[in-house]
Amino acid sequence: MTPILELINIRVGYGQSVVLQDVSLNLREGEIVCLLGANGAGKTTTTRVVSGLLAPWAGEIRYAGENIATVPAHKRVELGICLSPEGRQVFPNFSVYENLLLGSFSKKARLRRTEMFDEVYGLFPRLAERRKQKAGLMSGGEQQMLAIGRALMGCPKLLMLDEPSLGLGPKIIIDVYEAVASIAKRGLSILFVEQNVQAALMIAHRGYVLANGHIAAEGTSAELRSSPLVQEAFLGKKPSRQDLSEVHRA
Amino acid sequence: MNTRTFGLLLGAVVLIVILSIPVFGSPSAVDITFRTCSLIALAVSWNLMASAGLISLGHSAFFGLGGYVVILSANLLGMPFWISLIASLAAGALFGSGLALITGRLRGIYFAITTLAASEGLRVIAVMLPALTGGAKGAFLDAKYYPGTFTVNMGMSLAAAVTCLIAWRMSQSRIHYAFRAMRANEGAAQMLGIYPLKFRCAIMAVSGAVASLVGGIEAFHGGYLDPAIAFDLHITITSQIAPILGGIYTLSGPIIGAVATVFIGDATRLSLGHIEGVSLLVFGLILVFSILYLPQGIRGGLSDLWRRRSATAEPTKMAKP
Repeated sequence: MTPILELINIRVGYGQSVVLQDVSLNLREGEIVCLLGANGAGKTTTTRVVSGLLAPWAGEIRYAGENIATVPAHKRVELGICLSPEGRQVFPNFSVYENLLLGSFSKKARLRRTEMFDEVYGLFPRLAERRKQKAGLMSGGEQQMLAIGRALMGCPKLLMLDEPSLGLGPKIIIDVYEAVASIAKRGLSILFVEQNVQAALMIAHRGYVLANGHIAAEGTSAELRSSPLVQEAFLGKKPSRQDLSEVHRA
Repeated sequence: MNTRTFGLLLGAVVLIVILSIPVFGSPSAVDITFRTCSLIALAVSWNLMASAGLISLGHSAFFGLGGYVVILSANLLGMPFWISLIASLAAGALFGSGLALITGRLRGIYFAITTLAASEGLRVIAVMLPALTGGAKGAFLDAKYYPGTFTVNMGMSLAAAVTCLIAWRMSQSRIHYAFRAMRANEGAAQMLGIYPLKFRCAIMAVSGAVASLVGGIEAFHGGYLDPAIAFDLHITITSQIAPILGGIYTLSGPIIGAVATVFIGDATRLSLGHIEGVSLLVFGLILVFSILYLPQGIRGGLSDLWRRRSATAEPTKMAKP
């Protein structure tokens, strides 16, 4: 079966500096895949490439088998690629309801708006309670729920979450992750970026470890959890070739 | 009565007043209405762009363009009043969307400077093409194309009315969310499937068309145009003072602000006009103080007052906002 998302030899950066050297990864339908890595490893850049906010210098982005590297960001939302961005980026002066409404701006999503509202409010009852409140006045956890809810309003087939646990307390992280897991049960594919390794490997099926713009390791959650390489990638040590081949064998 | 019905009612009254004064009003009332309507249309047009995060420092570009299109299409092509106004409308829309395409992803101050440059550029072009525009000497509208005072005044009232209706219609539709989102965070808007360039082109076409139409009617009204009048910085400034004074990013703000600006301007000129320069000084001071003490504009101040009064009248309502 063709994977829903496949990155092939992606190379990209900003200005002079290269951020992703040569990144290949894939995601099958219904899978939860996490992208781990230290600060500056290129995790957010990967989500920006997939969502179309950044054009790759080289390489292919295949979505359901088709190369979408030249499709602009707003068209990718119509295709079903929705992103809950790093730092949440909800509109602070908009109410919760208006933020969600904007999430369903694309033509396809507009037709299913009422249904999606029910779904999002069902998933995050807190948002339903606060639907008239300004997003900027809510707590970090609630804003994160809103950012995920807003991405869901676009009726995604592939949902990307960039650091959903950033700046949240441990209890809220669990709430958010339970919601993510229950979203995945509906058949969505989820690619999410995380620094919080323990939390991420709890819900992910598979994971990739990014270090210095390369995929340093990949494997199932169980494999990654027991890998010494994951530790090293987070401490910033450059993994040796021998380590790499070990993980690939595993 | 809630604020929505109140607003609609007020809007209807304003429409009736500005459309009936050219028919029944005294000459001075007609003149004041003409100037107010001109500023209402310009202010609403400026505010439309501002609402999408596009601060224009070059509204005189559209204004002057419309004026020259009217004079040229009447003098050279013999087009009647309404047709040449449609030509100026089209020219403004084209220029606006063209400017949107050229400025691309420029935001904030960079965008503002580009619009300022566009206006200056058009002014220089008008000076350098004396064969067409009369150059610095200016150009007169051939008197036989003057449609009469009533038509010109009515035209301006209609222009203001239609502009307000367009702005109202937009505020009711879903696209105003797109504009607000672009203003707040263009990157996030893009992630949600909003294509900013498309909306930029659309809003600048509408805004440019309106400002250009006003310039066209003003050219009929004045009968004469030179580059300094057409691309006057004063136009740019008043068309943003009015929305800021009245309440930026709102529907009624630019209208209230335009009325207030004309009123304050006239009041200071009539009462202090005999002392050289003092009227402008007082006009400026009033503007400075109103922006200091009414940061949300007159509209914001009024709704604060309204809320406070209803809060003291019915203290029980305070509990659930």
